[in-house]
Amino acid sequence: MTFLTPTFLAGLAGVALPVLIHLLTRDRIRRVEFSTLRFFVRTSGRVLRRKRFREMILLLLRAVVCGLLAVAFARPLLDRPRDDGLEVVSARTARVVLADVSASMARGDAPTWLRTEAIAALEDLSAGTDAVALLTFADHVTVEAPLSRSFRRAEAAATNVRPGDGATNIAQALRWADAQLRRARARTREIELISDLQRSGWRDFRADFQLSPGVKLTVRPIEVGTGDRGVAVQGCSFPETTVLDREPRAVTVQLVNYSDEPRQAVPVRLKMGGSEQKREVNLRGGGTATATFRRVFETPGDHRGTVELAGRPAFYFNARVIPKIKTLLIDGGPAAGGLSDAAFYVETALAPGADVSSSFERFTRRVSAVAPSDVADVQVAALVEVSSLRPAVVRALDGLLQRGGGVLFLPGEATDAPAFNRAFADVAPCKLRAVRTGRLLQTGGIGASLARIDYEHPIFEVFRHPRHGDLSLPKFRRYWEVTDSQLARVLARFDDNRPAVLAREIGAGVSMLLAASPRDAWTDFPRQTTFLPYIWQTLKYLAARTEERTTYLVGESLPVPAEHTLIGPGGKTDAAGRFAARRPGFYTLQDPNGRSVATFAVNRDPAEADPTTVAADEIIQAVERPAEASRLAVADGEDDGPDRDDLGLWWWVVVAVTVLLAAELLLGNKTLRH
Amino acid sequence: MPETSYLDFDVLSRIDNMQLLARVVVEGFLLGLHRSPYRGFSVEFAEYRQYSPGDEIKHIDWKVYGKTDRYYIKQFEEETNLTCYILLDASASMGYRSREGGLSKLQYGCYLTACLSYFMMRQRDAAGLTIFDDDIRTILPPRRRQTHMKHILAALEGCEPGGETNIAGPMHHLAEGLKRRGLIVLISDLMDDPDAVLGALQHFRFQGHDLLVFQILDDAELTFPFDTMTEFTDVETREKALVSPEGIRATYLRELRSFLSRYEKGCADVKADYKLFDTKRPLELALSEYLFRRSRLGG
Repeated sequence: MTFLTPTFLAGLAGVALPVLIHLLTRDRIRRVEFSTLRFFVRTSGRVLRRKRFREMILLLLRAVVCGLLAVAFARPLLDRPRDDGLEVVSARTARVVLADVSASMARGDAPTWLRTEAIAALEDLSAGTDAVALLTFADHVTVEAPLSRSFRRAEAAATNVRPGDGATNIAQALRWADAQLRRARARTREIELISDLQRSGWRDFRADFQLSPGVKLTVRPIEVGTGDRGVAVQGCSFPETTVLDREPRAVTVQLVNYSDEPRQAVPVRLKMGGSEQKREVNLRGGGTATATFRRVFETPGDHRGTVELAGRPAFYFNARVIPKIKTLLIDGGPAAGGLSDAAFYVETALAPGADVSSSFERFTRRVSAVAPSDVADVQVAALVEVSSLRPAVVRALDGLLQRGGGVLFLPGEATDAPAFNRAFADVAPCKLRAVRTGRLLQTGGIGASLARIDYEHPIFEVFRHPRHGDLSLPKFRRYWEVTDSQLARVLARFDDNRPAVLAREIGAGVSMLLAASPRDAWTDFPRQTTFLPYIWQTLKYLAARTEERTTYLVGESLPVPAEHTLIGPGGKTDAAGRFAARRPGFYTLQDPNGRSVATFAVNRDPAEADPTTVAADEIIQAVERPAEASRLAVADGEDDGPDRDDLGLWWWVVVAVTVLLAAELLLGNKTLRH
Repeated sequence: MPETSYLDFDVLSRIDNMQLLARVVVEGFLLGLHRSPYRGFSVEFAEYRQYSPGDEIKHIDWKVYGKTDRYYIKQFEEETNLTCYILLDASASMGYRSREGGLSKLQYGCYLTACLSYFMMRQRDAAGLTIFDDDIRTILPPRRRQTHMKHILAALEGCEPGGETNIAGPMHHLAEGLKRRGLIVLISDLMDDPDAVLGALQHFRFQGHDLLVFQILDDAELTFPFDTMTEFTDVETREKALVSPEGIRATYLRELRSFLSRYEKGCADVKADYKLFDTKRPLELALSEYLFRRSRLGG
């Protein structure tokens, strides 16, 4: 508990007043000789004890009333739990110190300045009266010292604060600090931000966030000298997952020179599997350059690589080499002896040629020749213009889905809708209704385009960025209109809003349907450059071989299955479920038998090397509410300001005084004093 | 005249016309105001009444018959001489007085004793006095002579509150020594064990005595008017008790009522007349009230 006007606590001396009055006016004992004591000698002691007890209670009540009055005038502030279970801290001034411990703060004298400013941020506050919290932040926020009127933890944390390896996220830190201040009942609530104010640390700011009404933000910027700026790895392109095909893969390191001075012959080394390759790069002031290495992966499994810059590790990566995906291609289209058009295109996509390594090992069957045993050994099956299959084969497809495999339906001209719907009711994502014709194009001809594509989905993720393939170019002259797709997720639609790509989870696997056969009469999609990556991504996804990421940033969570162990750069971690990596380096995942099953490479966010800053005023103006807005927000009840809360407590004290006075009146009437 | 200070003639003039009649006929030979079962032995004329069959012919007044030609019976009432024993409690508790200048219970009892003695002397009854506390201090045997009154008054003049109350002991002792039945008048605050006191009264009653019990209490004892914190000292035992009077007043009065009620009921059981006197009340008023009630009972 603290007090807004502690001067009134001097009134606690008034507690002595009832005691004094009691002593001055206590009963004078009269001595009387009486004829007999026989009528009261038995009860007099008990009555006297009761009377004295009541007098003591009365004295206590009066003293408590006097004390409570003094406390009421001193405006007490109680620390009480909030609705969210956190304790409310009452203070004159509540301050949250936000210390930036991102990787960028390790440059030059920044660590020293960071500690100095953190200590200075606590100096003008008074322990016991003011409350302070110290939070460190990078990609995540750590409450080093929760909001408290005791400064012990905050001072210790300020003395020991030092930069880590995380990326800067100022917006997130301000949210946390604001949340801490919501626990405060104080006349002044403020945040002191100590940071190098990297622009990259402000990129996550959303305009819908503002600090609570009345919260003031002060920025203590840490200046990093231009001499501390240098060449850094901006990014690295490497085969995160590749198929074992003994083809050389490129590892491209993107470098940036953050200084204004040109740098010549900057040594860049790639260390991988005991071998080392070196490149020298020239960079002009503020310029970028790349260093490319080539590497052939000859064994399946994880291959660790380290890029060193100026003799120090600058980037870690892990290239995962996987065996080929066994794919069953079932052709149901019209064909004279060989394959139908559609099956031909799909088969070609799976094996583009001898000079292109494919991730797939395909098995092609005509619909009449396919047997359940053909399905048993594959990881994914593609059904091209298939109307129906023998029930045994359909059951085998269902089994494939149940064990985590995938089935891709490509219905076309030869597909009979009723037969399809009957045969694949349990394994298809939807039913077929009728064949539709695309709209008339301005360029002549007819065709529908793909639209409303879910680029967040793994099969379309590769097309997400510009110049990574335009899926709106393929034209579909004919396509199937589907129905009964309630259980399926629509990943893409035609431009008439009819579903084009649908996926349905069945068992542990996924069944997918493209509502158009890749045959010439229906679409030019196979002739587009996007067809091959689309087929590859789709089949990889369906085969449940959508390999997990192997490279992460500091602060990101690494997937750790149950009962598995994660060995990090600092040794064994206590990871369970997901583990947030805090240090750059390699993390090895071991199964319960102690066998290494995966490797994750963790790097600092390359943006941390970017010295571009954001202006302090920009941050303040973005998150601080104007004074008038704060007043209106408090009036609207958006924030339960300290004054209203104090008043509530004050009223409780007054109520207590009233109740005690009533009790004193009742008891006083029973305990007559003359 | 100190020896006559207890005789208030105003008081006596107020009670002069009253009849102090014993409820129980006492054996005796001397005539007095007390009605006797021994008719014809005394010569005190009472009244005439018309003859009715069955009356003794010898009681017809022939002179009246000669004058009125009607038979009238001449009524006589024999008178006996009453032997009265006054027992005055002079224990320390009787010395209590609540007001400066007021009467103590013992003083009040002495006045009452003097009045009764004088009145009985006028009736030519024999009056005796026994003063006691925890033991018998003074015994004046019953005498009918007027000079005996001086001895009684002298004994009362020299009476001071003494030791602890022990009513039963002296009364039993006295009861054993009384050979002649008479009227026993006990004047006391009765601050003793009621059972013991009533047992002693029963002793007198068993020996054929008539019993009058005058209980004298101070007004403060009846109302307990104390208010401030008080340390009471028992005047007999010197025991002390620190008391908040307002806290125990209700209990005190309840206990007192129970105590008085116990005596009232006990006296009725032994056929003793019981009267409570308050020293605040005028003596003559209390005495008149008693004598009036006594006469009504005797009529």
